[in-house]
Amino acid sequence: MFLTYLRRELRRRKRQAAIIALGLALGIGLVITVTAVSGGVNRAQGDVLHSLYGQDTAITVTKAPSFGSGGPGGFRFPAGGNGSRPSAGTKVSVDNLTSTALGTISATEVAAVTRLNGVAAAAGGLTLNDTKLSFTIPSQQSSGGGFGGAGGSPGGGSGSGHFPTPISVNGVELAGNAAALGPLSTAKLVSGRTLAASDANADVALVSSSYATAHKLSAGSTVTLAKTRFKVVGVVSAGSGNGTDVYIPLARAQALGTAQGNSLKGKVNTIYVAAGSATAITTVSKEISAALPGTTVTNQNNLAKQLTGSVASASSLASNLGRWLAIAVLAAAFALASLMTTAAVSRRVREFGTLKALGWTSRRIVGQVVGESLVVGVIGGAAGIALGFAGSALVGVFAPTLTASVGSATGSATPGGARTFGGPPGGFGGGGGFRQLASSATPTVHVPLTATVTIGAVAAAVILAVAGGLVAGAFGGWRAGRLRPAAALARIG
Amino acid sequence: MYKLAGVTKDYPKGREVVHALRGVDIVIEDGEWLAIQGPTGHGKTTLLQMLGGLDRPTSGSILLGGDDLAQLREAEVTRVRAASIGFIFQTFNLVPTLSAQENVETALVPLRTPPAERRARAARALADVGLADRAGHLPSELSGGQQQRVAIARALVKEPKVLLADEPTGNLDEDTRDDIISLLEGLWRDKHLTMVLVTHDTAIARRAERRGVMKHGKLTTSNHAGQAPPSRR
Repeated sequence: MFLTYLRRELRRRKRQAAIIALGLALGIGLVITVTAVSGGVNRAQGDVLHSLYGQDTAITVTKAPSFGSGGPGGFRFPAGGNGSRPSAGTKVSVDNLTSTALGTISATEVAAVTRLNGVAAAAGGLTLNDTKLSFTIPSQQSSGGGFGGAGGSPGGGSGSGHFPTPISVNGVELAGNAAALGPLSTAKLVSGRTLAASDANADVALVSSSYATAHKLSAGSTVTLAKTRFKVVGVVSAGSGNGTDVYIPLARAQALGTAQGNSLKGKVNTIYVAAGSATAITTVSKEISAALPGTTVTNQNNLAKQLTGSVASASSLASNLGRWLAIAVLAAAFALASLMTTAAVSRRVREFGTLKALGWTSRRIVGQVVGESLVVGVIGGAAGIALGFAGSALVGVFAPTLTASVGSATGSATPGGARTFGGPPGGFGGGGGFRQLASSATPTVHVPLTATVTIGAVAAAVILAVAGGLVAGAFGGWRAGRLRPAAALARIG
Repeated sequence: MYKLAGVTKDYPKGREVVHALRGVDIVIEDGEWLAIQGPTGHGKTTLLQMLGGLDRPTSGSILLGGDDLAQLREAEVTRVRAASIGFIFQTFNLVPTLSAQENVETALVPLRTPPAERRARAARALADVGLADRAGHLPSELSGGQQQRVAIARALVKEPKVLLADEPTGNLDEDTRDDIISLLEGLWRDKHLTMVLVTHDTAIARRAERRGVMKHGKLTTSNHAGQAPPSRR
């Protein structure tokens, strides 16, 4: 009787049942298609990363400064002859190159990281600030004799009454593969030449294009850091987020810089690490943390954040807009199914009241309503799965080929020339692992977008269909369960 | 069979209270045919709902074979209704998507009758009302009189002790009305039913053993004055 009644009732209101099933089908089909497209975009990203990287990179190791490190500037003022305050009228000029925001890491520790399993290359670097001040010692009663800030001026001229702006300086390794790591590796050479391994102990520098513009510098100009004149050999354009003004050889930065008044010889404050492969990045990060406790290890687990181009756009579209659109359509379908089922139950008041008068329990009647809704839900789910397959197939046919660029391939300012990661299979080791980037090559790949429906998506569709039927049935069943059998005896007209 | 004592039923209607039944007292013997008349809105249907356990009285007791329907739990009342009480409605109230045979079977579903037995008993019940050849027809394919016969078959297929009929001929033409009442009378007699029939039709009411009149929620009953009540064989 249950199945007979169910079948006949659905046939009686087949138009309503079709509308409900269609609504569920659209919602479920959209969920499947969006899931398939999302999977396809993720695969495209994987293809991009494999094409561009081969292996993977981008781990940095830093350490917090120890307590009591100097404040901005960390100035070392020249003492008076007998350690006392210089006499009034004495002109004082200081130019300090200091590490303040980061703690120091020894060369031994850098070497330890280089030897770790899964590490393709590691390089130390120094991120420093060069701050200049020139002023006249005022008399003890006088209120004048202001300070001269010389922060931004290579000539060290004096100003008055303003706090100096430090120059952001980066000491970069220039030898071998280490030169392909660090902030300079992402910069592009604008004019002049980049630094070479032979510049390791020379007083030469690169300046960023923004700094060069502000201070009217070009190749051949000089900048003064820690009272040492550096010859500008080139101007570079750094990526966004890279705030370095001047790049100098690491050895010179170590020789001239200080941290909390101590020399930086043999020390760095950042280690840049390239992992051997994309899958090794997490393992390598953990190994570094174990080898260097107390350091902060940062990696880029989600490499998709580095992607630009239509792959990144499609990923964002599928995961944000697509997901929410699918959820909205599905919620609307559930609501429509519930409303229509409840309305259908309301039209069957006399019928259900009669059945209750005949001795049918509320549970039996609710079960009938839920059963009808479940069948509609399953039909909608089956249609939704078919729509999902169709939608995914259409995406594969009509979707344009996606492009992606990855900003982490080293820039043209890389000492020794621009490079990309990835080499011949098994090519990673101490000295290998990087490929020279051809001058005409661009770090952009084209990948077709395919959307494949997975078993998981089909299973999810089935669950959604059943859920949709149950939700609608629950609303209708609740209405049916509340009906009084006396309603069967209500008069018409 | 039935013993009603002090049965009242009040319905709230906005700020007022509608007194549908005002202290109904009546004993309906086993096998008796009681016809209830009265103006519309004076409590006839409400009384029928009380007798059928479709609603609960505000106060009073309704004893049916020793069980007080007013005190039983809902599940127990449903069981009593499924097994012992047959209903016939003015508007037939057949399930439109089920055939005549299947509509009759719906009365046996709560009794968990096995499907084969259910079909056989439904077929016999339809034969008893003269519709054996209409078993496979939907209600929309039957006349008013035929639909009411199906409803009668549905009410009687479970061999109830009580048959409650609410204006069973209200929607039928005169000829069909006579046929239905004759059918009911015959079945009442043959199956020794206790039958309570609500009707506006005085001619139909006169055919019953006892008549009652509902007025303003109160029931008064009398036998046929000067007439011998219809006798069983």
